[in-house]
Parts: sequence; C-alpha cells; structure tokens
Amino acid sequence: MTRSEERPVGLLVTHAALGTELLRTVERILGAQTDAFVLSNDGYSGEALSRAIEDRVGEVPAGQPVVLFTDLAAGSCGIASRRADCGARVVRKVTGVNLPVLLEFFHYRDTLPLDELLPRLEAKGKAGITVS
Amino acid sequence: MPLLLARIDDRLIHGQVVHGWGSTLRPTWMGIVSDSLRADPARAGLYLFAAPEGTRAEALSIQETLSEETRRTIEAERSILLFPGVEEPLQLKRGGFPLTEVNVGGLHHAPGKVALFPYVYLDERDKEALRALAALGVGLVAQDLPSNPSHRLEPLLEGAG
Repeated sequence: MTRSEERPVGLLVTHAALGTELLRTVERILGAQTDAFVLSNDGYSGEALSRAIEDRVGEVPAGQPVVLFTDLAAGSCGIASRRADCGARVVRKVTGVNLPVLLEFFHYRDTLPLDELLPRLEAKGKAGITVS
Repeated sequence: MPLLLARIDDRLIHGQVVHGWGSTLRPTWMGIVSDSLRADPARAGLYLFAAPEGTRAEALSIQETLSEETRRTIEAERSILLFPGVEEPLQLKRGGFPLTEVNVGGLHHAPGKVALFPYVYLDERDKEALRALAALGVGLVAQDLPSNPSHRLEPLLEGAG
C-alpha cells in the first residue's frame, strides 16, 4: 500500500475540455478522486503552458510523485510537458491518455509502486484500442 | 510550388497545425523560423518531433530562411513556414523574402496583451510589427483553422499608437 505522502498525483494536461471530461468520467466510474488535477491548454502559448505545468507540479507536496498525462504527444500539451522543467521532482509523463489508462491509474495508484504501475498504464491504454 | 502557408503561431508545430492545416494542405516540408530555436537544438527537437509523418521539418534562422537553398526547398516542396511571433516574418520581409500573406493563427494571452480573437492576443509592439508588415504589402489574416472563418487583421490594427 502506498503511503498517502507518496501517493502519485495525476495531472491531466489536455486540449480544450478533454481532461475535465475524462476526469469527470473516471469519477462517475470510480467515485470522487483527490490528488487529481486538470490543466487545459486553452489560452496558453507553448511556453506559458510549460510554466503552468511547472507551477502546478510545484504546488504538489514535496515527496509526492506526479504523473503527467497528455493527449497528443505531438501537440502543444505533449510538447509543453516535455519542455517543463520540474527540477528534482519525480514527474513521469504519459502521452496518449485515454479512459483505460486513467482507470488503471486511479484504481491502482494506492496499491502499486510507480515503477510497476506505469508499464501497466501503457499496456492498458494500448489494449483498450481494438479494431474490427 | 508557392509557399502554402506562412503562419504566426507561438505553439509552432502542434495539433492545429499538424491535423487542422496538415490535412488540408498536405505539407511535405515545414520550416520553423526562429533564431533562438535554431540555436537550441534540444528545444527545437521537441517541436520537430511533432511534425506529421511524411513531413520533413527544420528549424531555421532568419538568415538561413533567406538563403537561396531554403527558397529552392520551399519551391520544390509543399511548404509551410511557422513563426513564433511577429518579428520573424517582418525580418524576413525586410530581408527580401517574398511573403505575400501571413496567417496569424496563434498568439496567446500574456500580460499586457489584448484579445482580438480568442487565439490572437496583441500588445502595442505586436501591432506595430504587424502594421509594418502590412505597409510592406503583406496581407494579414487571422484564422486558427482552415475550416473556421478568416478575418482581415489590417482594419483592426488601425488607430492604436
């Protein structure tokens, strides 16, 4: 079991209202979430979005890792997240966020160490896409 | 082939450019014109990584963009030029680059800037540079996506100091 001060914080950095709606949907399925934040790229230049990410990460208590979820790897959110300089903070970055990724994250973040959880997110996200 | 799009966008290569304009214009080459980005390969790489499949992307200095080699590339490819701000296209035009129209597609909010459109915020310095571009015969169009309405910017720049 992850101690609360080590619980990963989820920060969704997405286009328009996507992050808000994804988190709202997660909460419809799993219940209300704490340690979960959304940042829309609306109105931000690339540089300003990077700074906003840094500021938001800076507000998370030291010691708590942050998992930064973005939608398009090759979009303003993905680029800004890679540019963001969060110093010595533990900030892991996941691109291509979808609902299976988030459900896995919020379901297991209190029980799995981050290094085990992250590969599961990638696997779940990819497995959630099927074409028939 | 003439330049397909010359766009001011402080996000440079991102979703609107890749998917919005990219699907309409089908570029094979994108040039990001920025002296500072050209001098910072690591930062440039973040943007160049975002270029769509089938599109070669480069970060270029102003001088490189003015070179005969870049002109040949632009003519040989389906080309888009991207500028992080208003100064780069003005310097290009003053340097003799044949810019005829600039799309102002993304200048986002910052202290001291006022919204003309939800995706275009300008301060007096920006307006001055855009007026200078217009005075050099460059048409100015505000348009975020090809499927959205375009707006002539010149009348909106009048009257300010």
